[in-house]
Amino acid sequence: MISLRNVEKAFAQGPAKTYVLRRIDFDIQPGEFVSIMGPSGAGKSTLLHILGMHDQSWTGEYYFDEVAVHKLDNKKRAALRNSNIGFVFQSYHLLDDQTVFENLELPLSYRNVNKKERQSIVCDTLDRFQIVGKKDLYPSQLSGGQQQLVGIARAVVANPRIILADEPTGNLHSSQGKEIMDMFKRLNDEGTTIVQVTHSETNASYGNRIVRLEDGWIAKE
Amino acid sequence: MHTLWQDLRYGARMLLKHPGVTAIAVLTLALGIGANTAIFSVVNAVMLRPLPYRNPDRLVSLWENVPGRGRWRVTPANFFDWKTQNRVFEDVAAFGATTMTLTGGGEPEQILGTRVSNGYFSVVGVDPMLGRLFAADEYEPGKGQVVVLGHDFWQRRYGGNRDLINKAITLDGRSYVVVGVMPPALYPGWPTTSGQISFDTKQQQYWIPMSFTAQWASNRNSHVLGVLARLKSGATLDAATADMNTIAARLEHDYAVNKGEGIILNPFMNEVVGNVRPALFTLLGAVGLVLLIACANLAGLLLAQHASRAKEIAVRSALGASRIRLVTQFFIEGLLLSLLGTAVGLALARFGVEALMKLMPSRIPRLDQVQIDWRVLGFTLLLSLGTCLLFGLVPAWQATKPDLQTTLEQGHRISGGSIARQRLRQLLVVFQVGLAVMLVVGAGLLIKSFWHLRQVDPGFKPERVLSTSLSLPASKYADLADVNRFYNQLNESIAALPGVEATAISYDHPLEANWVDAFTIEGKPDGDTSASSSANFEPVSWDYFKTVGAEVSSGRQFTAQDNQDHPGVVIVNEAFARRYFPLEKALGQKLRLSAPARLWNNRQFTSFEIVGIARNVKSAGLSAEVEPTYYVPATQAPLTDMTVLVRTQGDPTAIAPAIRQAVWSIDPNQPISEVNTLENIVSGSIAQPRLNMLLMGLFGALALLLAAIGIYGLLSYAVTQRTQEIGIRLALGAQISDVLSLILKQGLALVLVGEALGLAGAFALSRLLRGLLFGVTPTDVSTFIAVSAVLFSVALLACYLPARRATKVDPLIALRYE
Repeated sequence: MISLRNVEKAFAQGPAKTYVLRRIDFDIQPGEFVSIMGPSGAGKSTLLHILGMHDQSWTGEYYFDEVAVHKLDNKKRAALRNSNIGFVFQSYHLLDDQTVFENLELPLSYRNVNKKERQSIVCDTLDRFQIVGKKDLYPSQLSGGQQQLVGIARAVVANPRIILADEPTGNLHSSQGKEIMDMFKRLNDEGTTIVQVTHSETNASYGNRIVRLEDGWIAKE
Repeated sequence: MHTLWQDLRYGARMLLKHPGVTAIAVLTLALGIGANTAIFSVVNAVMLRPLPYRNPDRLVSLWENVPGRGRWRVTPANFFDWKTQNRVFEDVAAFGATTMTLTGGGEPEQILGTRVSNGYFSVVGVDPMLGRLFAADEYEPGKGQVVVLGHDFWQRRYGGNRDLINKAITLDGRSYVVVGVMPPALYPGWPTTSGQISFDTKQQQYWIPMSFTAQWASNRNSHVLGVLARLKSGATLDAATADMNTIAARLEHDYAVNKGEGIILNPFMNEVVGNVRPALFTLLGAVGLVLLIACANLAGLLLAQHASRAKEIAVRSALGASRIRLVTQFFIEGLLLSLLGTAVGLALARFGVEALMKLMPSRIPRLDQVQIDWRVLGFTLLLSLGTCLLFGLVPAWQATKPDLQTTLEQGHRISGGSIARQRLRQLLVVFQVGLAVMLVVGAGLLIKSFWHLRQVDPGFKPERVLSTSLSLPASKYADLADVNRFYNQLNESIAALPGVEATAISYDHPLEANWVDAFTIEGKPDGDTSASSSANFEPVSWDYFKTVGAEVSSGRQFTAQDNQDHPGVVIVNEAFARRYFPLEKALGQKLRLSAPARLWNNRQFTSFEIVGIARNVKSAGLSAEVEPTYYVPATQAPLTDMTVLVRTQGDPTAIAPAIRQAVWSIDPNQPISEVNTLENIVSGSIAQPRLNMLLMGLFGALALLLAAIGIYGLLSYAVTQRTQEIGIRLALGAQISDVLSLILKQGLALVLVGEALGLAGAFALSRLLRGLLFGVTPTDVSTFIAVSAVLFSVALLACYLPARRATKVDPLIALRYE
């Protein structure tokens, strides 16, 4: 599904270059649950954003379903991302002035889904995540765990083939974290590919593969 | 005191810390305050300063109210009846303009002055600064060879020589004894045919007694006098009106010619400022709106700035500062800003006043007294304090709202974007847009009105025509044949000059009509009231119509043969033909004119045949309806005071010295005056509407600019506040167009609400402009639509710039804010 070949990212610092990622080569197969681990500053989040096609300034080759992402222009990358990838953030990043329902509707509106269909999909998603009762609440009226649940629901609402999660339980206490990880596991069982960045061995244990990064290099798989 | 000093120092430091914001704020305020100060200094000098008379509130002007014509000058007989029969006035006096030629002791000069009846100076309420006024017997016919000089003329011509009193000067070839000098003041000089008093300083060079023969005093047809009256102590205007109404009814009963006539009493201040009051109030309102927009702009700016200081406020509160203490600190910062803005505004106002003086029509009374005096300074300081309260207090109150825990816990993010504060900023933008729409609609209406005025066909072609006045001394040119000889000779001399296409003389130049005279239509049955009337009386030489570029649409023009040896002829304008011959042909009809017999004791010329119909020529300004006018050959109605008109092939002003030489070659003691081009005269006639348009246009543009800055500021701030949100949206799949439309929608929604409110406001208020408009209604739909479109376009640009910045948000960087 995803192949990275010799992917590198660096910042220029005067005449020298500081590498964030070096010679990254790895593949992700459909249905995998991959955890990217490593110490702070190892390049985990950077790698996730390259996978998520948010980051444009890197070198190397990136194939998504045989499509050479490194050769695509921004518009085509955005189209590819919109139809395949969902995101979950550590700080949830729900929009404060929109209700739960409206937050879930947002990714669909950016994919030109018509209003009627949007409402139907959002209702199904609310049902699936058992948060129908929260649909009219604003994020500030939810607990952290509930907010992240909505964050995941928002990531899956457009039916992506892969979810990228950046420390999804980083701001939650352990019981809430467990609920979230159970949810990821369930999604993975249903066929969605998951790639998470995490510091937690426990969370990593929900997956079937761990990629460890150190100083920008893949240290161990 | 120590706290105040501390706040002042801290406030100054905060202003210096953000020099860009401070500069924008000071400039915004300065523009608002400067414009207000400049306009107020004009209002102060022209309208608020008390008139320079004794008890000026007791001074009134009196006019006849004639059916079908309205306010009109007064006939001598009516003047004497009013003067003798009233019970409410201390005295009633008459006045009228006069022109005389000063000779001896330098170059001959034609000078304008005022002829005044007994009591004029005591009614006006000004004493001479030197010498005395006229004695009662000096008003008797044949005895008034005395003159009182105006201050400026006395200074200019005689260097302020105090020994001039009781010395003789030569006016119109006769000796006049100077008996006094009047101080600089505002003297009523000339009652215009349109029923207004001119206070032109050119008319205040001298005063001579107005004498009445028994025959002249009983004249009920010649509307030539301006009349002033001074109310008795304790008498009210209402009581005076009632008394004069009784007199009018009595005169109506006694004299057929007075049928339907009333008397108009006008407080004197109305005479002084009546014409300019609507324009000045409109401009004062306009600059007031500009200042409000500037205040709203500043309030928005301060709200944003205070929001970024939420942490500082929270820390101060946590350390024990009360809300009042915090508000005071912010208020002092606002006050500093306001004082800086006022200082710069005053400097701008000085330039503004100078520019205004150049643009203002010179006929506005007391314009020379416009200055930034203590009253204007007081107004400006009040304005400064008021604006400070407006733009400083509300944001300060908002910023210090206690929200300590949230702010300290969550840093700047939440408090910086507090919903209440955002709403307030949005409201301010709606307010600014609304006010800007109102101002720009006003400017649009005046621009369209002026455009209509420029499109008016004046009925003549003013290009390349020079106009100059001549006033032959009556003592020297007592014989009418001499007058004709002089002007015929002058006409021939000027026509022979190189570069002259045509030349003519006339009593008035186009756009002016100073003489209304009576006539009767021959052959109309007795009792037909339309048979006897009056219209503009215009003696012109035979080449007049060609010279001014007017047309005789039917019949014939005058010829050189239409002189005293041939039957009397007259050309009437289309307005005259329509008014007096609506159903029959005017050509061939005969008018019996009273002027020849009355003025020249010429019984031979009483019957004048209409030989031509002239296209209407504007006679009372471009916006006024054309009045019925009859033209008489100057050779059949010779007058000493005439206007010389010369159409040239090139620049008309270049011919002026040659004309002067031509006059002097006939009479070396004869001056010419009022040398001007017809184009300048046309331009001068629309100086006030042009100024109104220019100033309203300027203030409208300023309002538009300030509103655009307000919108830009709000959205720029919103983009900064929403950077993370935009990043999230981009991460969730938003395209650049989605982000663009997100920000544009936020701004344009406010703009549309503001526009709707502004249009409603403009609809309600624009009728106040009615008196200043020509050819356009106050609710002109096309202007409203055009203004909406212009404002929307400007707002779109103001929204687009920050929106474009929003599209450049890098989701990676935005998301790292976490």
